[in-house]
Amino acid sequence: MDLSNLSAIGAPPVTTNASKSAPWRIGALVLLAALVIVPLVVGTDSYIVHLLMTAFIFATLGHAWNLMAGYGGMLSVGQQVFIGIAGFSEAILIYYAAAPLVAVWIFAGLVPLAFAALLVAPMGIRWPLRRSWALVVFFCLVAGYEIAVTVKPELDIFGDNFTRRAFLLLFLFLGGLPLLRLRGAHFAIATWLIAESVATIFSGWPLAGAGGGMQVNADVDLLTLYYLALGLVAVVTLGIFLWMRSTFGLALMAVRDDEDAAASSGIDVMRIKMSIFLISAFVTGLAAGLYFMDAMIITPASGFSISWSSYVVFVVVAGGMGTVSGPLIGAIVFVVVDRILGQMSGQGQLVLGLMSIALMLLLPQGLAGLFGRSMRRRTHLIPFLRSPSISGEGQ
Amino acid sequence: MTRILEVTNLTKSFGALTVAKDVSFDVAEGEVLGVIGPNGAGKTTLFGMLSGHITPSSGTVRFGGKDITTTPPHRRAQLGIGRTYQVPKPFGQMTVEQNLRVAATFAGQMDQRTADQWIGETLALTGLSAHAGALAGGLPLLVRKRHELARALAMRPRLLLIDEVAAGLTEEEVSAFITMVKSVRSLGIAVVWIEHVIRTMLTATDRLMVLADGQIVAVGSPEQVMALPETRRIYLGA
Amino acid sequence: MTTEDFYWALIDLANGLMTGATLGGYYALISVGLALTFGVMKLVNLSHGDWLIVAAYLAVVILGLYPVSPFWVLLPLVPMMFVIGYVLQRGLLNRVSTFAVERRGLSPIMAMMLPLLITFGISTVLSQALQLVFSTNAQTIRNDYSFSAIALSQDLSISTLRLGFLVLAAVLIGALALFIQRTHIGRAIRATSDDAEIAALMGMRTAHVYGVASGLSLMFAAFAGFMIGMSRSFQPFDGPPYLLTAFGVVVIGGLGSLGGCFLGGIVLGITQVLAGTYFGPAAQQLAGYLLILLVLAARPQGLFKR
Repeated sequence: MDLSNLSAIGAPPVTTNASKSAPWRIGALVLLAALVIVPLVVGTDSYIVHLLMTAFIFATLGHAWNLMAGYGGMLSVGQQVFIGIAGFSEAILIYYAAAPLVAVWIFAGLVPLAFAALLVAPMGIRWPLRRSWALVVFFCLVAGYEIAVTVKPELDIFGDNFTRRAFLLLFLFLGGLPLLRLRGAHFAIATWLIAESVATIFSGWPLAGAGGGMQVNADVDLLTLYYLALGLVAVVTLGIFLWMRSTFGLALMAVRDDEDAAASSGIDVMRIKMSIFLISAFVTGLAAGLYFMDAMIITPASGFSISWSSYVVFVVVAGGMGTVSGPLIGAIVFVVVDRILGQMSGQGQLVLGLMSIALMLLLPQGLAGLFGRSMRRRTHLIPFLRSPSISGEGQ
Repeated sequence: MTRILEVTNLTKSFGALTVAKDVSFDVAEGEVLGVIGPNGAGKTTLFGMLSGHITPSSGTVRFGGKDITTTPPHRRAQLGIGRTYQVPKPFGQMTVEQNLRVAATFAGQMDQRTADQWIGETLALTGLSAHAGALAGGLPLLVRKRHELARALAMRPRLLLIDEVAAGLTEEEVSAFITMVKSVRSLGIAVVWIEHVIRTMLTATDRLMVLADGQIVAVGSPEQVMALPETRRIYLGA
Repeated sequence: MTTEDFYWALIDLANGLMTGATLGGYYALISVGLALTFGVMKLVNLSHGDWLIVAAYLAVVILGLYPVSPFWVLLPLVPMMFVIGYVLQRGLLNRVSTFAVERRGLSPIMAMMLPLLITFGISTVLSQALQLVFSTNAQTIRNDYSFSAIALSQDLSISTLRLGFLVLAAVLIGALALFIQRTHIGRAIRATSDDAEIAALMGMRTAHVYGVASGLSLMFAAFAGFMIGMSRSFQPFDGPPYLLTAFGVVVIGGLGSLGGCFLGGIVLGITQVLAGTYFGPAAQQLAGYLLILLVLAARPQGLFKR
């Protein structure tokens, strides 16, 4: 990552940046070290370990959504499609192939990534194939499979004719959908529709439990999950932090502010949006993979629930949209409200919903925005975000 | 003089409505071509086809000898076509300097040192040096229009497309703009300038092109064009 | 194919088309409230579906207290929902309208997202609150019409309720169109939807006009919720599918147009019923969603707009 761009983008020269951000780096390292030690102190099977792991997972989910909505201006309420697909592919791989843990986990990230690629590929196909040709090839594959099944029924992994055809047609259809052209509410509703459509199919798919769900017997202990989740959230946070300081971050903000002007300024808007969308799907899949290894069971209702989106929206909105620290702060609040208060009252989601409405009215920049302003002034930690990305403080 | 932009038989229709019909013209390097015409004459559509936001129904656009008819906007920007928008479209949450840097980095494909220098020059040329650190979304109208021009210049284009800046500006501000465009031309950058206000165009342009109902009515030096009865009919309704 | 086969194929098709068309009235009524808020204030209310369910539950509660003939419940329900809508708009949603967000100095991207996020939050709160009060048991508004049908021929029949709702939808949407064209407040609504800033300059109280539009929107949600309760059972979490359907109808019909809702509803209804007839009940919902996605992708301005 080219950090030398830094100096030029923010007004302050790079030397002060480096010296002033040093306390931050040390702070982050200390925090990381503390989190590594926590299980050794409180006991490896402690409830606190489980809570922290949940927070890491939701922070990661928050990062992935924030990348799309906060940085990319694409408001998705269909993240559950990646979560459900990740959980089910994991369950299927474990049940039918008894694969090792790491393979299962990577698979849980790759399948949503592939699905996301299917969704956005038509917009920016860079392969030798043109979009229409890709669709023709895909259609031929589907038709070929259909014929193969007629000849040899044991090739059918979908169980019944309707599920198979609906599945293939849906994917053929989604492959042709120019999803990233849609904006605002249209994009939001489209992601929701896609999630619902995929959920419909999973509810009838015998291989995936025909609506009854599947067990996720990953045979993994809590401590391993804890460290995997900690590693994931640390890597993702650092990655986004560095990414936003590179020229890519500059392009991303330009696209968010005005797509037409970004294109006129030489930015390949579709490629930027595609990258965000794909990375978001991959990261969401990895986080969901850990979640279901812990939950040990997945059903179409739990995997594809719209609640996922409301959780993730809460995490990011509470923390602060378009900031790197937002999802981290939001995830802590989420765990406290939903898992601790929620378990006492049984009404976690209701409280979360009310809180997110109140926060959006009173603190649209989130909790990170509360103390962010003075902090950003002092340290110039994130030059791009110093000129407030969501707020208009500068005006 | 070498021709930098060659437009041949460009036609665009939306359903039954034809907004550009067989438009052919070219622009030489370092030339300022003014495009005038009444509202709905197809000026902005023409611009869209030059910058790549609108795909023509037929005809070709060649830039620097290369056919770019179907090239997407960001590629055209990288090739050296810069444009401004009639309603300025700044990256509102970024500083003026960052706005210019986007254009210099992505369209101009400059390394950082070159970009720094060129951005400084562009800011000075457009009189924006004092605003470099301000958020682009909060600029007042006049500054916003300068900023729009500055960002297009920051990519160091070979051809600059300017879409109506004079509207809403005082005479003084317009003449400041004309001075700016003239210094742009002295850098060897060709300019196509759409304007509704004719007076601006008389002093600022080398050649004038009149569009009406999607067709070219007249082309020539500003004096010639203004003397033509067709032009007078369109503008004076005579 | 024998003559008899051909006869039955025709009957299937005719039944499908007829059911689909009557279903269109049902969908139009579900979506007209969404079309109204979209048309007037460019607000896509993501909690629209949940308000329908809230109305249906309110109807059940009122009928539980005063066991009268079900239709009488509309008398208190409709004004009640109007008031809720008005208060909701003035108390909450006006604070995140495009103007309000800009006035607070937030970015345009936030202006686009805040209303969506807030109404999404409302959707969560409503369904959770319904679950808290009523638990997840399925409810329905008991009535004598649910299973009655009008026979057109030996093998062709049409559901009385559906037909009734088609007529009701036509009457109500017609009345709304008249209201917007003829009354003072209706003209204010139109002016505001054309250009809110100019309307405000002309002395219209935008906040009030938005409140009325939102009130009308929930008023129609009351009719639609009542209709849902009359014709099927419902649960606290049933809102989102209705929102998706309603949004689809609004998009197919051409955003914000009232007549378009009717056409959009009929197109969607026929598609769903035919898919259900030929590919089984599981295909019904899916076909509807795919149609909506297709229109979103290919003709976001709607099927019936040029």
